Parts: sequence; structure tokens; C-alpha cells
Amino acid sequence: MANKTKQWSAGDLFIPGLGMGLAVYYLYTVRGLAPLAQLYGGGLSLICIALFLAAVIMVIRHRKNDSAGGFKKLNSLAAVHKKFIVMTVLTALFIVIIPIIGYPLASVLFVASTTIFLKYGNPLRVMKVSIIVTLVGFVLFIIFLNVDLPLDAVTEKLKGVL
Amino acid sequence: MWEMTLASLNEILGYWWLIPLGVGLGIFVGAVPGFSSTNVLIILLPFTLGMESGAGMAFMASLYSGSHMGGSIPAVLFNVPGTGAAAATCFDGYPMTQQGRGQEALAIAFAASAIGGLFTTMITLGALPYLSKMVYYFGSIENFVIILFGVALIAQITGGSMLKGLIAGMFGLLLGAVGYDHVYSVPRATFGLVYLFDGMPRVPAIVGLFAISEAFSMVEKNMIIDASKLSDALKEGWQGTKRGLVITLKKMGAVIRSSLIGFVVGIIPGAGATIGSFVSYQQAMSFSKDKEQFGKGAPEGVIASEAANNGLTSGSLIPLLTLGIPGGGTAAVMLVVLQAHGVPIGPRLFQVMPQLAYGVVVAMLVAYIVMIIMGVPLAKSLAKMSFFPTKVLAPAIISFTLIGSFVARGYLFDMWIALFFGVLGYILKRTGYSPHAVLLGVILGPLAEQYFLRALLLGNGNPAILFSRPLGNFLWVLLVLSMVLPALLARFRNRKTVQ
Amino acid sequence: MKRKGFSAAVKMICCVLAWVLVIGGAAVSWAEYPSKNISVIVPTGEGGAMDRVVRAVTNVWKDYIGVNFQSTFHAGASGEVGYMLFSKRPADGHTLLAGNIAPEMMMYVLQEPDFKFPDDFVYFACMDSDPAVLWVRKDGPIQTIQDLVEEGKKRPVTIATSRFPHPSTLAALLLAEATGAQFNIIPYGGGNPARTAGLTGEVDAVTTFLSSSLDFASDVKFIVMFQNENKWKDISRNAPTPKEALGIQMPEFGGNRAWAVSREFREKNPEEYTKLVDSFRKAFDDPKLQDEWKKVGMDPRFLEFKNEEESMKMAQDMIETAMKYKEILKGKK
Repeated sequence: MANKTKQWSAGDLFIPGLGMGLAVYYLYTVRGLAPLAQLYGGGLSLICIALFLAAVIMVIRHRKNDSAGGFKKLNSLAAVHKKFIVMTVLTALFIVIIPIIGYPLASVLFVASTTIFLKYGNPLRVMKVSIIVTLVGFVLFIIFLNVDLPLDAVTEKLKGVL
Repeated sequence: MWEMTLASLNEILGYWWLIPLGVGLGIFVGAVPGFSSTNVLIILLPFTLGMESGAGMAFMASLYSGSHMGGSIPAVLFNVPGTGAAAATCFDGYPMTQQGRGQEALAIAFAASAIGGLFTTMITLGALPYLSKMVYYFGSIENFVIILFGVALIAQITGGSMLKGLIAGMFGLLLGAVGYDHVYSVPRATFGLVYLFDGMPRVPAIVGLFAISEAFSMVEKNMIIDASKLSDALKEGWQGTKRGLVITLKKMGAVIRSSLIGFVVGIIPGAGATIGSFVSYQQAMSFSKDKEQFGKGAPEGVIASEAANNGLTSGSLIPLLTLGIPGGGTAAVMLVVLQAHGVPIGPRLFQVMPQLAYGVVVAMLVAYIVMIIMGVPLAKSLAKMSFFPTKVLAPAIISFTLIGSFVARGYLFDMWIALFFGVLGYILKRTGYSPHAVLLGVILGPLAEQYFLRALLLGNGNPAILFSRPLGNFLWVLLVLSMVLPALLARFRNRKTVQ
Repeated sequence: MKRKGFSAAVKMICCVLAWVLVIGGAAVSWAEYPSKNISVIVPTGEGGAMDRVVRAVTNVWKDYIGVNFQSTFHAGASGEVGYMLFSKRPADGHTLLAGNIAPEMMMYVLQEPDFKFPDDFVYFACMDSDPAVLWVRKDGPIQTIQDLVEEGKKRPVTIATSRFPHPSTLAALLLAEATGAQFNIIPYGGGNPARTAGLTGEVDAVTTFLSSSLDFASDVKFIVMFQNENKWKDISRNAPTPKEALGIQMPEFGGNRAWAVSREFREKNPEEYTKLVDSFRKAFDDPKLQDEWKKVGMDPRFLEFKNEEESMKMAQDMIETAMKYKEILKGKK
């Protein structure tokens, strides 16, 4: 176990790399501001850059040999975790269509498409689940808690009546 | 004081039905991610404004208490904190559910919430006028050190590699430093997005890092509960609830300590319930003999978070009732109701309408008793929700929590932020970084910066001011001790066992 | 089996899409203004003074305009977020903004946001007038503005404010400049935390609007009012003006809660605009407003109507003042 945590692969640089990217951008945006506005975030940015360099050193020193030149962990995100990628794309599409077709329809489509992708069962089961989940969401959030989500004309009227 | 308590109790009997109603509604809205007692109380303002002031306050206090208990339900079952204060409940509550101990975890959460809340409410009732003085001792410096207790957790929950823990924590703190600066209101790293001007929104960050990233991971399995533990969990009757209650009663010391930590944090205006539960978790972890178990399903972790965030509720009303200063969002709504009824606010309240001030606290006391009766028996049936197949749970969680991330500010853009944090959380977990550390950074960072800069300004830029106040220095010593002492004790114990 | 399931799913998706097209194509009916509820963007937080004021006013106004009002709160970046969203809404008069002219025009100058004033919107009415004041604790060592200035000459005195780009902050800074005292301004990110700092003694004084500190009137002493004449003598218990106390002539500083609507709507729909403005004026003159104002815990003595011309002039004046002291307020001087 102890040995495992000491092993670093190039994929482990993704998060520190992201941190460093944000740090560089941060420093760029705070240049020229009053010193107090720079102090805290600027200091953190420098620490993030230093930590990225430390992570690079760790990867060079304790590199785990894998077939993908150390990027196996990241590659595996794409290859093994197809589900993750598809779920992310479907969620993104869900967010895109909410303002266009309203939450209830978007939710039916989203739940249906994810359950079909996850091979939940026959279309009837898929349909039942997507309608039940949407109905629960609609009643709970839109009717009961009065959340101002985008709706289509039919559900807008329904909300007005209820 | 006792006469006043009895008189208040007598008055409350007149509208007793409002308390279970408030508690029930509170548990419900607390369990819905994105909703807090504050935004629901704002929705219900026309209703509470129409009531008599005492009845309105009793209802609001019950709803407020109930919401902190409700927040633990989705936190334990689905890794979705219903309120920010329940984020720390996820750390151990959800691993317990994965081990088939969801019912036990819920029973612990409910019992710790109710007992912790009851205990501090009794203290409030006994010492209300004296406690108001505490507000005078906690300034920007003390607040800064208290937040550092939470930040210290980053170093403690590294889960293996210290460097990875630090990278995650610092990344989180930097994400939390995005937005307008606290002194001159100038933008920093906002990518030109108006939605980030006010900083990284908390609710979408919590929803993404916990709920959405977990939904992405859970579809790799059929059930949340480990396959090996499933059959036992399915057969379970009331045993889980019993075990949970026994554990909570055995660890009464931890419940009392955690609720007191929450209580003190609650009295300080501006700190808030999330800080309370993080600080309490940090303390519980520092001084536990089973540090290794924290984050993997330790009942002490659930107790620490839940007893603290409920212990805090009565404390947070103290600045409002005694000085007229609302310590947080819910207290601010209560202030609106008090003002609308022309109730004198601040110290005059005790001279003119003491029964109202005591009435609120007595209502809270009754609410916590109601919560034990209402909440604990629910654990068994609620735990069954974790038996749903992940193929249905994952889309449902994503669909509902995205609404939750929208509700807090009303921007569809916040759903994108939640998705960003969801993807980030998934990658963090896959590459061995702690999403909890990132979350701590995002939540505590802005507060740490605010209090730090304020303290520096108070000292004309001289950092020595951070060590200039007696209470502040006492807290500094406690902070250092809580970081160093456990390690020293462990070494001492090891040496003893080796000998 | 799998293929069958798939095609059924496709059919189902098609049905749902058909529903979308049908309802999407439904014609939108156009009726007389206002044809639906009016949404109010509040660029400050829920539960704050603006929230209460909007609640009070719309309770009366709705009877004169014939529709209900729905408020949404978009605090953030000293109000910039709310104004940005407001400027992006359709120019049909169904979205109004309820803001505070002076602090928000100051934000406009200092933060250089993406919206344009006065091109994007007009303040069509102002409903109150709330002077900026400096106050100290009643039992503290400093009891007058002279004390504060004297102390400020010996050491930097600490003054809490809700935020840096705020008229009361600028007022305090200008007072310091005029007297040679050192005022160390500390922004607390909100009125409540700033007042708490003043009451608990973390700071020497607090600079704020008068109305927001009246809840604590028995515990504090107002030591200066940044106006040329004190029109609120009884409420402020005779707080002196800078001229009376120190012989200094300063610009007036205060807040004015006002209503804004899209300029495009005003230009293109003069009749509808007149209807909007007239209905507000009637609501303002209705004695019921005073009761509503009291009900939300505000003092009706601050109520003061100003028309579009006066409101816009106030906004322009504030912009000029803020431009003049931009460097100070950005912390660069």
C-alpha cells in the first residue's frame, strides 16, 4: 500500500497541471491591482506553481512503468471509463436543452437516454422511469418549491393551474 | 428564568402544531439539495408575516432546526449533502452506506443531531443573557483562526500522499479565490463571466464534487452497496437503527463535544454551519485513536458533523436575540419578521418582550424533542432508498442536483459549474487526489481571505496583529496543539507498545 | 430483443420531440401592457433593506398597474451582476430594476462593467432619500466628530464600511483628506457585519446610510451627517453636518432607492412608459404606502419622490464625483 502511494504516473500531473494553469491565469489577471487585492490569491498561485513542479519531480523520480508512457491513468479515463464520457456528454446536452425545451421534456429525454445507454431494460421500463423521475422533479421543485425553471407551454399552464 | 421558560412553554402550547409542521418541512427542505432553511423561509414570508410574532418565530426556529437534520439524509445515502453543513457528513456517512450500514449511519446522524441540538438549546435557555457577551470577544482575527481549523483538515484528509493532498487543497483554495476581491471589488480570474464575479458558487461546487462525480462513478456498479454486503443489508430489520442508537449513546462524550464546538461557532456572527461541522470534524479526527478509519465509514465522523451543525442552530440565534445582529441567512429572515411586527430588537427585547426571546428557544427545545420522535424511526425506511439500482439513481441524482445547483442563485450557468466540478471530482478520484480537500478549499478559501485581509487592514498592514488578542492567541495555541499533539501522542503510544 | 427495444425507444423520443414542436409553435398572444407579471431585478441580497422596500412598494403598486410583481435577487460584485442581467432582458417593460443610485453608479465608474449608462436604462423614479452618516458606540471613548478627527491625527482610526465602492466610504475618505486625519477604511462585505464590528468595538466608527442603523439607535451616536443640511434632525438626534461641526464644505452623500427600466422601451413605447411611470406615482401618493413602508420595518420619514429628470441628474452627479476620486477608491492613491 505504502509503495503504491509512492508511485506516480504522468496522468497524475493532470490536476496539478490544471492548478498551475489557473495559477498563471490568476497572476495575469491580478497584475497591476492594489497590493491587497493581489496578496492572497497571488501567494496561492505561486504555491500552486511550486506544487506542480514538485509533482513533476515526483513523476520523474517515482515513475511507474506502464505501456502508455505513464499516461495510462488518463488514457484509462477515456478507454475503460466510456460510461463516464458518455454520461458527461449526455449531462451537457441536458443542460443545453433545458432553456430550449423546458425542464420537464429535457428531463424525460435525459433520463431516457441515460437509462437506455446504461441498458436498464426494455423501452417500457425506460419510459416509466423517465416519466416518474421527471414527475417527481416537477412536483417537488416546480410545483411545491416554486423553482423558476424554464418550462414548455403545456407545463407552464399546468403550473399556473396548480 | 424558569418562570419565563414555563410561561413560554405555556404560550407555545397554544400553537403546538406549528412545531411538528416546521420540523417536518425543515427535514424535507434540508434533504433537497440546493434548498436551505433561508430560501424556504423567504418563500414562506407572506405566511409567517401573517402569524403572530411568537408563533412565526416558533415555526421558523423549528424549520431551521429540522433542515439541519434533513441535510444528512441524502449526504448519507447518496453522497449528496442536502445543505453545505452536511458536506462533512458525507465523508463517513456515505462510506457507511456503501458498506450496507446506511440505516445505522442515518440513525447515528438523527440521534446525534437531535441530542446535540437539545443539549446546546438547554445551555442557551439557561444562559441566554450572558452568552451575548461572547459576540464581543470574537472579531476578525478570531474568525480567521477558526476558519484555519477547517483549512487544517486539508492536510489531515490527504488519504495517502501528503503532496497530493496539498495539491488538491491549494487548487481548491485558488478556485475559491476567483471573483471580485474583498477590498476594492476588482475582478480576479473570472474568465470574463459575470456569474463568477461573486466568487466560485458554493452549492454547484458541492453538488458537482460530491453528487455528480459520484453519479458518474456509481454507474460502474449495479448498486451503491458493495455486492458482498447487499444480502445482509436487504434482510436487515431494525438492527441498524438499534446499532446506531447504541453507538451514539456510547459516544455521548463525542456528541457533547461536537455540539459545543458547533454552538460556539454559531454564536460568532458570520462563520456559519458549514464551518462549524468542518471544525468539529477536524477536532474529532485529530483526537481520535482510530484516525485511519475517518473517511472510510467512522461513526465518529458522522457524529462530529451532525452534532455540530445542530448544536449550532441555537447558538446562531443568540446574536439576533440579544444584540439584534443576524448571524446568518436564517436569522436575517427572522429579523424581517420581527421588524414587521414592530418587535424591539437588541437588548431592549429582553426588557420589553422577554417571553418572545425565551419562546423561540423553548420552541427549538420542543422541536429537537419532536425530531427524536419523528426522525429516528424514519432511518429504516429511508435507508431502503439506497437499494435502488444505480442505473436509475444516477440519472435521477444528476437531474435533481442540477436543479439544486440552479436554485441557490437562479442562473442556468450554475448547472455548467456543477458539471465542471462533477468531471473534476471524477478525475480527482481516479488520479488519487481528494475531492474533499478541493471542496474545503473552495468553501473556506473566500472566508479565510476575507478575515485575513480584514485583520491586516485593522493592523494597518502589520501581520503582528494576528497575534495581538488574548482569545486569538488562545485559539492559535489550540490550532497548533490539535495539529501537533495527536502526532506526539501517537509516537508516545507506539514507543510504549514497542517497549 | 435489443433492436426492438432500441426502435421503440427511438419512437418514444420522436413522440416527445413532436410534442416539443407542437407546443413550441403555439402562437404567443399580445395584449395590452403590462400583459404579464412584471419581474423586478434586485441587485442586492434577499432580506436586505432593498428587499423590504420593494415588497412594500409593489404591494401598493400592483393595484394601480394591474399585474403582480415578482422579485429576483442578484447580489454580487457590488450590484454589477444584477445590472448586467437587467441590461440583457427584453426591452418590453416587463423587467424593472430596483436599485440604489449612488452606490451603484459608483460601481459603474469603478468596475467599468459591460452595460452602458444612460444608454441602456433610465431611472424613472426615486422613492427615498437616505443620508450617509458616521456613527460611534455610545459608550466608546470617541463621542464627537472632533474627537475622531483629533484621534485620527495621532493614529489611524479604523472605520467599518459595507464595501469600498460606496458613497459613505467616499464621504469618510474625503473627510479624512479635508481634516488631515488618518482614516483606515475597512470593508466588511455587507451592512450587517460592518454594524456588528462597530457595536462590538472592533472598529472606532462605522460609515453607513442612516436608515440601516436605526435599529441600534439607542446604542450608537451619529457624529456627522454627510449633507449640507440635516433634514432628519429628530431621527439622527441632531447629528451635525461637516460644515456645522468642522467648518468644511463637502459634496452631499447618501443613497436613493430608485426604479429603472430599459431605455429602448421608454423610447419605443412612450404610451406604455407613461402608464408605468404614472401608476408608480399614484402608488407613491397612496397613503397605504406609508403603512406598508412601516410594516417592513422602514421609517416613512425617508420617503421622498423624485421624477426621471431629477433621478437621472443625481445619477450623473454621482458618476462625476466617482470619476473625480476614482484613484482613491481603487486603492491606488
